[in-house]
Amino acid sequence: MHSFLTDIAVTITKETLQKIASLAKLQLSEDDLEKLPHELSSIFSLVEKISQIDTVNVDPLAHPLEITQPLRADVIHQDIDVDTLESLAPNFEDSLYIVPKVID
Amino acid sequence: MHTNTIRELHQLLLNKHVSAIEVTQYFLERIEHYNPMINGFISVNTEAALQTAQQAQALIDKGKAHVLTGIPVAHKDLFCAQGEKTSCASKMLDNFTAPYQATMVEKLNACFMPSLGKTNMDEFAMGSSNKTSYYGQANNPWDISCVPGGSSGGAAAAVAAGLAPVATGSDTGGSIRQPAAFCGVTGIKPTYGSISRYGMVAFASSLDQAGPLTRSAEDAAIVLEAMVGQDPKDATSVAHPKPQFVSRLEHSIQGIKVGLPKPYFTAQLDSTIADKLHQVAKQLEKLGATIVEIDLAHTELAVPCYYIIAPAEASSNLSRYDGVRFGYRAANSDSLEDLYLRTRSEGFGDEVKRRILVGTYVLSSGYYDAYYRKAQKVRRLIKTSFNQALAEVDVLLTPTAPSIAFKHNQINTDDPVQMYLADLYTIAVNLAGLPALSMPCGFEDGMPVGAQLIGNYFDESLLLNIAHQYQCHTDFHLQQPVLAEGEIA
Repeated sequence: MHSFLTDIAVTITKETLQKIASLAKLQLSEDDLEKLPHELSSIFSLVEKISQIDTVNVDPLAHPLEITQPLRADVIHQDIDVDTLESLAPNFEDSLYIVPKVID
Repeated sequence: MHTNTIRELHQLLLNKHVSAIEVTQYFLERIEHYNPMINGFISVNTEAALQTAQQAQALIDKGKAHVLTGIPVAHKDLFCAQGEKTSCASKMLDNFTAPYQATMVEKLNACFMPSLGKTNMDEFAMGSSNKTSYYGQANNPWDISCVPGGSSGGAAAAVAAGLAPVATGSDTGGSIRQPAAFCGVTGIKPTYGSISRYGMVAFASSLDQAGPLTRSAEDAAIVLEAMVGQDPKDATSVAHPKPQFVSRLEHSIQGIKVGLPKPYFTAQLDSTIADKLHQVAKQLEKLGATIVEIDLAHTELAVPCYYIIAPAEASSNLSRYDGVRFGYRAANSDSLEDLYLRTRSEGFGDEVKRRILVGTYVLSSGYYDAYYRKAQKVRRLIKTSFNQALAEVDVLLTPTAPSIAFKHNQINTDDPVQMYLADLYTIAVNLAGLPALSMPCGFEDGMPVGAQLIGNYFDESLLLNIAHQYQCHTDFHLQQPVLAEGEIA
């Protein structure tokens, strides 16, 4: 493929990685902390290429067909009953999801 | 029976040569026999499938059968099928039973298609090899040491091995077309919004689209016709303006203008695959089409643009997996934070985590404009380039993948970018929201090669028409892998 874009090296440090992981609620192992900075640096060096394109007068495209989302009547309906929700939940009592204590 | 088309099976059913129960039983037996080798299925629904087959037979007996009535189908394991396990090939959803029906599944159920089971895939549809499945890799029926492609690898392998006449898949960046090419079957991703995404586990919502994988373009047209339709439960779905895919199949393709995009035919493309594509062009020319080489600007931007938009949307969609309401939950957490962290770290595989991290970064404060917003602007440039190309020609003919199916052991898991770059021919189509199909067009070293046809919005009927006319004059789609040859005694 004819390449008009140049490679831009991007370095994702261990510190940046830890910050992203905490935002994403992911806990990383020692092994992850060793290998992921390299893998992510390589991914960001790929995606960074688009920074070379002039997009000053271009509108962002969110939906490929650019249609307006249709409106519907605001009617309450229940498609799934509480018993089904309970059967799916890891810990459920009296119609409530049980999680570890949040406030002492 | 496993080599029959949908119409042939339908005739066998109508003429009472076989019953719908026998057809379903036949495919269930093939699954039992061959799936240990292929690993194309995550779960098999013997009882439910036979029950639907019985209902199908009752309709056939009453003379009320649809062409799909009694034709078994295998759904990719990211479509919710009520009461059935829907795992997305992830540990996160290993214990998840869908509490409702995906609209697409409901539509095929309404035709009384017995659902044989749920097919293997890359975890959360993130991958091009099926390697990231929690349930182990699916294997390519043409050579089990090779990948079937991904993410709908189990679906493509199941159809290629004759374990199901029809399979459903989803395509976010090529996940129907690339495995279809690798396994020698026909697969189509329709225009974005054509098929409801309700009940399809979300990966990247502005790119995801369902579609069928089948033994021929004719079969694809029949199934696709039953799958499309606007759905009040999916606000991004649209009413398809031209949903008569079958009625156009027999039209002549005389005068159809086919474009070969120059940036897709470069030194990067395997020379044998390039030859096969030129032979497809010659065949279409013989059938009356005109072939022209055309420019397609911004081709090089598709992969970088996609690997911002898809992970960004994925990181948002996958934030729902928190161990509270459904799915996997880590044991013995001492705080809510600990519960979230451990559930997500233990429940997701490496590739999914990698994409969540990339997506979280590009959406994070200070980076949103430079990455996500910028990528959305580039996305418009890519769409505009396709619009310009498709104003000059009716369809584009390209390779589906830059190589044939690679060996399982050729995957370099330390370098995800190498794998991402292999999606270069399929990804731009999802960014633009256009329809595209992959059809078998030959073999290299005994492995199938796929040709991709890209059309204008809602022009699926033209793509299927061209593919059907091509298949009426070639026999690549009729070839069978040795593994799946022969009837079971």
